[in-house]
Amino acid sequence: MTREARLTQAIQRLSAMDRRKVIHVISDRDRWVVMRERAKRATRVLADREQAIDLARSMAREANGEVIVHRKDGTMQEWQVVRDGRLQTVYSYGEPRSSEV
Amino acid sequence: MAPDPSDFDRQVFINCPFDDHYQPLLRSLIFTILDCRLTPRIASEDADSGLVRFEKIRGLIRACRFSIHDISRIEPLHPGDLPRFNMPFELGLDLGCRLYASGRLAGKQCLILERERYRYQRVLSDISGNDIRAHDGDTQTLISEVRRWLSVATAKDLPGGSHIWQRFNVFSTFLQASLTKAGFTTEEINTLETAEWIRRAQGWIHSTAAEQG
Repeated sequence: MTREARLTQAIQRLSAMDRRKVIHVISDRDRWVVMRERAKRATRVLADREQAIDLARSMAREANGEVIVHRKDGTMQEWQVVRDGRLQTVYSYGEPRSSEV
Repeated sequence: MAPDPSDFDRQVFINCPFDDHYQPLLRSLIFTILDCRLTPRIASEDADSGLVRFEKIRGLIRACRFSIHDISRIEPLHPGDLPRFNMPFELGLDLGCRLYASGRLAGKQCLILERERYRYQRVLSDISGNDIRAHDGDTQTLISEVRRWLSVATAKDLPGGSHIWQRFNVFSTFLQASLTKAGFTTEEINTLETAEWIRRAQGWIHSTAAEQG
């Protein structure tokens, strides 16, 4: 399979899943926004980053979803997926930990 | 999808550094333009090595009503480096085009960005009095400044800066997840060609447009 075909297939598979189950923690100046992907508004805006991440993890567990924590420049810092009720890290600090996402 | 050369009023020429340090800012700049339903035009958008760079720049300046020039590299990136003159040179070309041309080219508009607000006055005092906006090397600030300028320059109702920033975050990780899932290495992801990045961003913005209303 070509590089282009692999990527197109991956994008289609990711697009097909319920993106509202993906919870993002996004830096916004000195605050942290917790929001479901494709939601028009944030679920919560918190001053404390750790509280924001805890809330996102709890929402992901409830929805059997995923958590993505962003760096200040918008890129991915950490990506966790709920499997069997537990959060597993698949990506952290630029190093993919698993290709089976 | 290739930009339509006849779409002068929707095209935005980007004149900025192409080094690795600037890449997050460049991507946020491109995304902002796309999310405002405009078309970014940049020298690295195609892989035609046969075209002399200066001719490519000339063509882009003529094709775009709007231009965004980031002259942050008037200061060398590392000690011992020399400053980059390409950006101020292309800014001069763009301003010259507006001044000496007639017709639609006389109506061109530009935004000048710098890392620090008044630093340019020490090396490029001829443009003192122009509206120079500073981004402090911060992607969110850059998105906010570019969005504010575009809303005045285009006289269009545009999405808010925070909204674009959040969408930029979501798209960045969606693309990263897609590429990781497709077996791309971290280096391949970080060095994705600008043209391919633009194509993916256009596709994602189009696919999520209905949800944004």
